[in-house]
Amino acid sequence: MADTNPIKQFEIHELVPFEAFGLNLAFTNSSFFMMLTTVVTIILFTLAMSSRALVPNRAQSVAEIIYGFVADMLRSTAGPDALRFFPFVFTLFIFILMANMLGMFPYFPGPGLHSFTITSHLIVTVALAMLVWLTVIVYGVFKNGPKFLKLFVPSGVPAYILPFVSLIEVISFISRPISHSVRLFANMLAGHILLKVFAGFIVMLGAGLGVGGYVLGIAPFAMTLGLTALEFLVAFLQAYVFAILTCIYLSDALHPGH
Amino acid sequence: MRYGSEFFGGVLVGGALGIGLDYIAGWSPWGLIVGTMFGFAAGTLNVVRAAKEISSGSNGG
Repeated sequence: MADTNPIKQFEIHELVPFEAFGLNLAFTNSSFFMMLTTVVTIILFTLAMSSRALVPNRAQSVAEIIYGFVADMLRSTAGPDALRFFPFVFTLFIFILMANMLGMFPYFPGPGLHSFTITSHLIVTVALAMLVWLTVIVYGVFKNGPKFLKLFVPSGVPAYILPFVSLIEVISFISRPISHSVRLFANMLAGHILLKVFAGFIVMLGAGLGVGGYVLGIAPFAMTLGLTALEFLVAFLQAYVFAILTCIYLSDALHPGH
Repeated sequence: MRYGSEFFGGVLVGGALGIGLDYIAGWSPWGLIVGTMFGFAAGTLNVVRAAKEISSGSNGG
């Protein structure tokens, strides 16, 4: 019987072993897909924008729609002065989107012949979320100075419950990178496991019941088909949610105090 | 999934701060208990904010 282990897809393989300062810094399939994400994005955008036509062709108008989409999102949630963060938010959005989409290939001409969703590993999403969180703190303190602490003092709260409210606000602020990263990670992980579990049912039915199994296997196959479409939606939606939350958090750094 | 992780994050950080306080000040187990309660409050606040953002996002664009 074929291997139907649904979590085998998340295994990390070392492609080029490398060790420095007692740390294992091997080039893994995760690193490969991160590089691929970056390279594919750069190539696609360069090709799409190479003509620079006033009346865009199809590829150029897709690139312009993505640009406008992120710019509008940033402008409407964090104000026009947040556009200085446009490169940051755009990079995050396009990196996560491309990584999620590359992870949707069932077979891939790369290491292990299967694709790897880098956002299904918590360490990757935590690194991205901490980057946003630290940017908010550093830029907020740099721009507003001590006024940044107004973020933890909502206006219009009576003085006798202010200490409790501030404490709750601080906890809420610290919990941001957790919810920010866990959301992306959990959605990608759960979706891909579900997909492989249902695909595994087809193999199990075929191996266990013979011809009857092949007929019954149509049911999980239809389910896999539907889930694949759903996963494409989730892949886009989670990139969007990550980007829009980044905008909301950056808005706090620019305008503290509610 | 969205509300779940918001709430979970709040409780986790509240509990962790409580345990940290226990460790530093030696108030075990009161830091954990009070910290978790504040964590619940922060988690609820997170969920309310998330719901507000979604409902305001639909008319604001």
